Amino acid sequence: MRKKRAIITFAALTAACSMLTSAVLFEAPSSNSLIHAADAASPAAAPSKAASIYIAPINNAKLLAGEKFDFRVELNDLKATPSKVSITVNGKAADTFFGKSLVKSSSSATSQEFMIRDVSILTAGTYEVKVVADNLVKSVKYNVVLADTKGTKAKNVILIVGDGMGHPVVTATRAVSKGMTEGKYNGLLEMDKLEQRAVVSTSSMNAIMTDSANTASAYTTGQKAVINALGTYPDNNTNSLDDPKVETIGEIMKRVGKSVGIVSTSEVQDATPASVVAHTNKRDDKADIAEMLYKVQPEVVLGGGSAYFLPKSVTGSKRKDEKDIYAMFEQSGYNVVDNATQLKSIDASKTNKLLGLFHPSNMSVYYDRSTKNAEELKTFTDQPNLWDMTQKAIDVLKKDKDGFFLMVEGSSIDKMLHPYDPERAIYDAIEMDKAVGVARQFAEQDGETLVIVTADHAHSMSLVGTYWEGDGKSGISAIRQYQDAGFPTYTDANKDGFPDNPNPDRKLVMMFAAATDYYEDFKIDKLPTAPAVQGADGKLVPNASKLANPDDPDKDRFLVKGNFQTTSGPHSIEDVPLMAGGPGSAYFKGTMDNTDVFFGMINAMGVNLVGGKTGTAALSWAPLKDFVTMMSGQLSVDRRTKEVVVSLNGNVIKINTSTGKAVKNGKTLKVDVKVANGKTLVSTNSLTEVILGG
Amino acid sequence: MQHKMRPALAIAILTGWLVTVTGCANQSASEPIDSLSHSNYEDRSGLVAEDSGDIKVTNDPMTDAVEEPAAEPTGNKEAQAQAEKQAKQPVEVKSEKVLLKQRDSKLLSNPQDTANASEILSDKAEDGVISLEKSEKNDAADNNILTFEELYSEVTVRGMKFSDKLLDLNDKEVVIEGYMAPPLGATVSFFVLTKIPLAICPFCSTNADWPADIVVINMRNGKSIEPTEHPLKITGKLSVGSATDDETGFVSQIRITAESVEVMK
Repeated sequence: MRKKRAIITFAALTAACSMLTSAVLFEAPSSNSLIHAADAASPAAAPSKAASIYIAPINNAKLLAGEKFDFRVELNDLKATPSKVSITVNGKAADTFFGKSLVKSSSSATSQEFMIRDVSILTAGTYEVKVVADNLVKSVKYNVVLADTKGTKAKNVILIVGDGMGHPVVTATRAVSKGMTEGKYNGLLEMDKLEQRAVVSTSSMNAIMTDSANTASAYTTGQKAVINALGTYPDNNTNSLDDPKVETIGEIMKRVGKSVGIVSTSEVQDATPASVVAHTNKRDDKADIAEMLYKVQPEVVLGGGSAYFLPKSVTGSKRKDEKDIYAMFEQSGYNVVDNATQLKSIDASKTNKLLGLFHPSNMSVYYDRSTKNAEELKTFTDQPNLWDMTQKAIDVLKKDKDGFFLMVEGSSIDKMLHPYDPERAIYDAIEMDKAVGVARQFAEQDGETLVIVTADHAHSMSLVGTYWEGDGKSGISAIRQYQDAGFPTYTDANKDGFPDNPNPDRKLVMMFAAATDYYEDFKIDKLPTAPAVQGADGKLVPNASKLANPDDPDKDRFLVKGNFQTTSGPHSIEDVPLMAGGPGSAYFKGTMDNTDVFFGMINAMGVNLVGGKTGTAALSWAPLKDFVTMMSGQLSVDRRTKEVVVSLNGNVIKINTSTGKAVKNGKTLKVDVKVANGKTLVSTNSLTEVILGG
Repeated sequence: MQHKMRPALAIAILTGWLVTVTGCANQSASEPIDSLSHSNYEDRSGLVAEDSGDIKVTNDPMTDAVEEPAAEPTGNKEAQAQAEKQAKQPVEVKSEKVLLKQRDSKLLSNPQDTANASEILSDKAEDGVISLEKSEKNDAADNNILTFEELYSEVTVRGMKFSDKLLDLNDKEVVIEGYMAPPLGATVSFFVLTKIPLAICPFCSTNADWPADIVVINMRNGKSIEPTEHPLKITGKLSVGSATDDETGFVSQIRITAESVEVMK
């Protein structure tokens, strides 16, 4: 995405169109090459799609006044080049309306695109975008809003996302953690104690089903996204990094001067944590997402995923380039920690920027961490738990007098429900609930903090009885229902919230509506285990390793017959719970679309992006020389022109430190640059986009 | 789904079809390597009927093949001698039918019983034909037996180091056991060997990574093998160090050019 932004110099239309008040007109190419090219490409083409217009942001998008986005119009599956294209916003030519030129492109023989990067609408109201291309017409409406300024505003927001934590997970977590006496729970979860409840619908822009990327993106941008996308609307080309972007809450918080924290038990590049900063159509652009984290510079980043921070030459790296993201963070002033002991030793009162990566990939789950399951942990025996990470993050962030936004994710609730490992999922939900406890405790002392707990989507798990072998039955026939179910017998003698034994004599039965054939013996798996593996011809075979005794000659009594050919249980579509407490929690009520959660947070904080002192993100600066040296480049000063000359990755970049003008491979670019204490400092934005970028 | 990266790691940066191949990486779904010697899958009751179609095994090619040495001369004389010795022994061939029967009658509760019936794909076999031979522990290659645990000596968040044993065995013939990661095609001439079986998971495949400890197996002379969920014993020449496959862009750290691929049932 950054690449394209850097080369937008297409201004041919500006002069011609800037005076027009009606419509932007594009003249058709004189030849009919468009159709010929299409024919040549697919001589035996299937019935072709009808020509259509796509506009991003999409119809009914709700936008915060001043929120940045990329505006894009696509004409797709054209049968002929339109002779005239007009793009207007409330009757004004789009480029006049936005004050920037439309950049025209053609990503295929049958398409035309018009784009303006980095625009915003500053005045609240309804806006109609209308596109006319010969006979094709399409219009969409936007609702541009200002944040509610009434009432007590929250200075801080802590958003805690239980990945995959549908209603049954909350109930199971309460049942396992707190227990029940004669039908009444012996206690409530921390999340249960939040005063406000809502339900959230989770569908994506392109499907009623959903994944963790687009759902997280809805929370962090207020916009719908397609499956696997973060901080973007889709476009018609295959480059995942150039899609029209929408500003994320991480970027917005930085603009209004608040600190940002991200805490997760997954890779920090995984969908949910990434959504705070990322713009990509493809959540597995994890190496790029690591750079996006660097660019936005959240003050706290804690989780897994170090493999994407290592340059390719280091064994264990998952990068395809030599960028040393660790070194880049260190150079920007981050304290970097690798394990729980180091995290504990961090003095939060003296630490302003903290990066902690505790695993090359996703962190181990709580059950394996807490039982010191050597077979699973391998050498990663000193990983912190989620509530300690959350506490440290709060302690670092709370020093910002302007406030902070912290996202905490209980990642592996989802990651353990996919392979039908409900015990591990519930342990991770309990762990997350303890992080909610840490957040609530801070919020109560602080009085200015909104705490939100929600999920991004559900799984098809249901609670359908108890499992008891006491009368000699075992396997599926030992599932007890109605009065025979009685109550599960989990105990918690040490009062740590986790059951003393995951396999008490009477267990809660958690089954899946969408599953393949798999073995369920109602004993926790020795290790996280694939429920089925692919045999020849793609046929799935249940994995006996899920059983306590894989060699049990009568193991088919544990075989759950599934109805799906998938080794990974799919997400389910139903609404998910949301609980909120603290100032602004009243914005969260009733049935909400997931994009409403973003606006709830914006309203709770009263974020104003138009007028006042806000509007420009505070830049993070790093010494240019150190950066270039670290990336194995060279830096010199041209005595004649006084320009700083950078040679890096085969590129030569000449920077004028007083004007911020840079010339790279013949192209003139803008660099945020300043000189302080004899050192040339460049913003982290410019370092990634201009110095490092293509 | 948990994608627990094995601490150490052969990078698996995926492009092209390998992205699709990516298992849902229940990489954390590990199982002690010991258990590979007694596969959990051989007595999958109720599924054996389907299984019988998995591998092209018939009685005829088996008996044809048993007169031949198990492996091409490899320079490892001991291994060759052992293979020849094996070939000369009276062979107790157990066909799929026998296996089926045994499974049905639950005679195979001792996994060792099934070790007698295994398949060896060797260069000596006719093209496309997998020969079945009596398999005993190939102790000739004992010194060169690698396990997944032995690939890396140091594994931290800041990177990993190849073990001395792995480096010592570079360019030498080694034996390693593991599972074939689910491939895309019906037959494959190269595949990824993992410590534990991986499952394909369409929903999280966009988010799935390879485990840290994987070995890329290239079949010698472009020979192909059919996908199998059963454990495999690979014998072949080891190659260590980062390499990028020209065709697929797949980056691997540890590779074996397989002389033989033995399906252990």
